[in-house]
Amino acid sequence: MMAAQTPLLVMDGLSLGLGSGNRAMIVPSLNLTVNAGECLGLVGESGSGKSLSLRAILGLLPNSIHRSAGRILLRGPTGLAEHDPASLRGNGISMVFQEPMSSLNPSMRIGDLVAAGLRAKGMARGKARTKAISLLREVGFPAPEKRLDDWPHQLSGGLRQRVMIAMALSVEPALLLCDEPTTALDVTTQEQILLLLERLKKDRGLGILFVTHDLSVISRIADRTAVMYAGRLVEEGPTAELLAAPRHPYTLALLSCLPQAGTGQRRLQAIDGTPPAAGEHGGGCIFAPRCTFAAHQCLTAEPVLADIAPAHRTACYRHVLLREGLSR
Amino acid sequence: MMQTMRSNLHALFTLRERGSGKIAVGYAIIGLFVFTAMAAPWITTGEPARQDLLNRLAFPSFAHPLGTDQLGRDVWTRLVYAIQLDFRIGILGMLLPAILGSLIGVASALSPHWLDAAISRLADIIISLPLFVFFLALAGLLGPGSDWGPFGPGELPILLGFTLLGWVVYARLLRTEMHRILAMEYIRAAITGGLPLHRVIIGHVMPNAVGQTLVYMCVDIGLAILSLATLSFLGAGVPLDRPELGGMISASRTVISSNWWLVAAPGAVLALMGTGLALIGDGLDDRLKP
Repeated sequence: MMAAQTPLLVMDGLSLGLGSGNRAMIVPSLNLTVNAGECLGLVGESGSGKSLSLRAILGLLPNSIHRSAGRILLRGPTGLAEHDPASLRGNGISMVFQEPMSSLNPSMRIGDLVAAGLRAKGMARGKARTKAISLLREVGFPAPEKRLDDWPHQLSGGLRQRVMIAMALSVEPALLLCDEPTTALDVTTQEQILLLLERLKKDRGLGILFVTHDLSVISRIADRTAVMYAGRLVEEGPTAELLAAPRHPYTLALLSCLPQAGTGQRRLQAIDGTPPAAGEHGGGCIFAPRCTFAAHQCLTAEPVLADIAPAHRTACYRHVLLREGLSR
Repeated sequence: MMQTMRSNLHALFTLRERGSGKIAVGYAIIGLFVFTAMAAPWITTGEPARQDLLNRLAFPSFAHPLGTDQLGRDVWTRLVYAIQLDFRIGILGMLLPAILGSLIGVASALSPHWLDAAISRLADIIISLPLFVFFLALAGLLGPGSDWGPFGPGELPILLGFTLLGWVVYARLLRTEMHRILAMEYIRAAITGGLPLHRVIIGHVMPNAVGQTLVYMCVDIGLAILSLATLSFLGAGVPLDRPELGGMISASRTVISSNWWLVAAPGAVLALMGTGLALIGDGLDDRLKP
């Protein structure tokens, strides 16, 4: 999916910090691009800042966290431009949330939920209802015309997530932000939802920014993958290449933590140490204290993202080592 | 809003779900009282104030089902009119604070921190006031007075007092519920969907936040009736010549050894009313609980 290279969303030096000033930066400076018709997977462990970066796009940051610098550009009719985050809600960008259980209003019928965004834009009731039926059909909801008056609690997790996606699609977005939409689902349902997202990406030319901590989900859906650690982008590249031959020790460590069937492995791997707290960073590579490849250079100067292959970037001085002996 | 109003109303009128037994018994009790109060002109003499001084403290008879009091007034007639009065004050004494308190609660939940804190401290102060001392002072200040528009003698100071004190509970209840709902993912989803703020509040927050308020409203009618009766018993409620349950108990307590039913009848009515309303509230709570 490298054909259509129209950038849809560009994050340019996005900085998120706790409180005012630059006391504790959670995300110091993030550069990301999502192209039209492409799914960018954003992986990282809890607290790495991936969800916050996603929420910053729509201005949904918690009160304690502020955006201190950087631009978020979105493609509009006049090309890439900065927008007021609130004006993008329901207008070009939609979001799908993690918990289908708690992200649907329990006191609204699903037909009204899907139609709410359309009604807010002034569409007539009957027309919005018809549109809701066709949206539900598009996301593979069985017999939507018969179930418009169902309540969310009557649906299974997978169906709820389909309703959620239908709600997201109702405003004809160009970009879909997915905040771990499959984490709360069982594996078979997860697969169905991923297939659905993939189909929507192709049919509608939708750009998808997919945040997750699940590498197996990433390998299923993402065209490109960006790995975040402690608020920093450490590696970014085509998914297949990045997973087959990681060029950053953190990506490699994440991959070796995955359980593998049939190897007789008893204990799960873990990365030694803990990630640094926000603002707790003395200089040098942020991953160096936990890195098995760390050299003297890694402790003194922070590496920057550099191209190492077409469309593949890593922030590591020692990436050659990874290519030589240790890639799988 | 409509959906939940519908589902809440639905919850009030169906008998198949959780808490149905309690609600059914509560309705039966309250329905009986409401019927009695509405049928007052046909099932009583219609004149609660008529005295028959030659026939004082009479025993129950066909003409006087519950006998007569010290002034020879028919106690059955007075009791039915007292039920009428107590219900009216009970409902108004619940409704006025509920409206004021809910508005304050919503405003508090949505306002900036300093205003929210100021409202909460004001609520703390009001909760710390000794209820009946406040009422006695208010009654002394305003006097029983005569009719104020649609309100009979003595009613306005009581309703004013209920409203000034009672809003606190509703404000706290709704403020807390609003905070709980505002933190829900579906509210974030609604905002993400581009809905304007007022639509999010009215359409998505409120319907999910009002459940506990409805439960408390049922119980609060009973509390208001009990407070009214207590105040009248103490002489700070409606004037004693008006038929009122607490006032009737107060007036008859000197003859409790000879005509005990003059105290027992209004007392039993009070207890039953409170029980019925509490049962409805409790059943509703069972049903609205997730």
